Amino acid sequence: MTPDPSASYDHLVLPHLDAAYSLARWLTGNDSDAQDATQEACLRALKFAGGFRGGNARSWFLKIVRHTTWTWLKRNRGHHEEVEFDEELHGGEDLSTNPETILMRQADINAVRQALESLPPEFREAMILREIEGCSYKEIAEIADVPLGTVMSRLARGRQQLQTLLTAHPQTGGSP
Amino acid sequence: MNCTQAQALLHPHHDGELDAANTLQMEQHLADCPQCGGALRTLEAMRAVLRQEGLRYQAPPTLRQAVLKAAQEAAKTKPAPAALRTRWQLTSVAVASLAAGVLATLFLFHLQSNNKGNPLLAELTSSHVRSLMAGHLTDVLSSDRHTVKPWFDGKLDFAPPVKDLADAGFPLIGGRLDYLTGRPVAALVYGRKKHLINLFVWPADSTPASSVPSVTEHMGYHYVQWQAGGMALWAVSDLNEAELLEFAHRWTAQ
Repeated sequence: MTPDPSASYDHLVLPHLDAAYSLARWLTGNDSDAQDATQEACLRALKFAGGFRGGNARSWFLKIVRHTTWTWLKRNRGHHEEVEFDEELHGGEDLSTNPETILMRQADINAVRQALESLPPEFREAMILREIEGCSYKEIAEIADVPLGTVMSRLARGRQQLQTLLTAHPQTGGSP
Repeated sequence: MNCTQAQALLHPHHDGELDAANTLQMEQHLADCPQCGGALRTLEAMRAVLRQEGLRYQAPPTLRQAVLKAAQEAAKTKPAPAALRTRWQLTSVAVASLAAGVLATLFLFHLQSNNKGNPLLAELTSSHVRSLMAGHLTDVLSSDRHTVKPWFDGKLDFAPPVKDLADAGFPLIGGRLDYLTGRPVAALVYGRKKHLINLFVWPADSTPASSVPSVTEHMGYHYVQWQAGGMALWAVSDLNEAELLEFAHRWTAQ
């Protein structure tokens, strides 16, 4: 089979444009960077579409999006945005949180957004792929190019930190 | 299972990544242990918060247009394989028809995009795909419904109807315990030529769906949803729409 690259592109990339943009948006933190990175990722995908050997098109494309976005950020911002999560500051493990405390946050989507954005990038990306895109561990492992065990531990730690962020401070308006 | 083991498996359990045996053990432990059960409820609450509308960003129309334009320009100017290049040079009609095709794809996609926020569809997709990938298609491998049906006894809090549709060209392959929307469900596996159909069955809840099967497409798979005999039924397959609908009708008729 000689796949027609433009036909594969319609099939591989366009159906996943929202997922691609959403991931890039969460990784860059703003719309204009996300649009630029997604567009670049699409061009790369167009170039590599002929090399797609079947399987999961969304994972294949999101892997390109993720890689392009991180490279784009490094080039344009000059750093990898390594944010250290201060466990001292945000408190340690607490498995006894009342679920209702977290559910209260549903009313305040900005607080949830802020909490997700303040997660370290590796954890944030795993959480976005799992909880918002509904990816399986296997898909996340493929997209982020890490072993399954790493996916599992990033999710566990990401959730623990998010839980702390969502419950530690009671609602405080919408301070930036 | 003790708490240390349960805590190690809590996240994969919450994510539907455990096999049937571990899932069962987890369920038992979570039912008995208030602390681990509470930890799971916290994770569930967090998921509910994260799955709300507005957290998944949508590609702005300007980006869509830019991406389409770039693809078309690349197709015109990029050095393409010889066969492809000749085709492109044949006539500009090809370009126009591609553009039309792309627009059609986008339009269809737009129609489908409503389903993308549906967590059940996402879960069904994961379960279906996982059943194909992990070598974990069936827990009980038998084309005999009198073997498959009793296998579910004691593993579920309901008795799933098991039917063999071999006569209609949909032979029963086996059954499996699966997890959807936080509850154990029966997954019955049927074949259709080289395609596989996962039929997920669980007791219908208070919001009755139609008894008339309806089709949805999501991520390249077809989903037929209907209700029969008090059960909610979801058939998932890469089979074409018509045959999957036929499966649903035959299943109900038998």
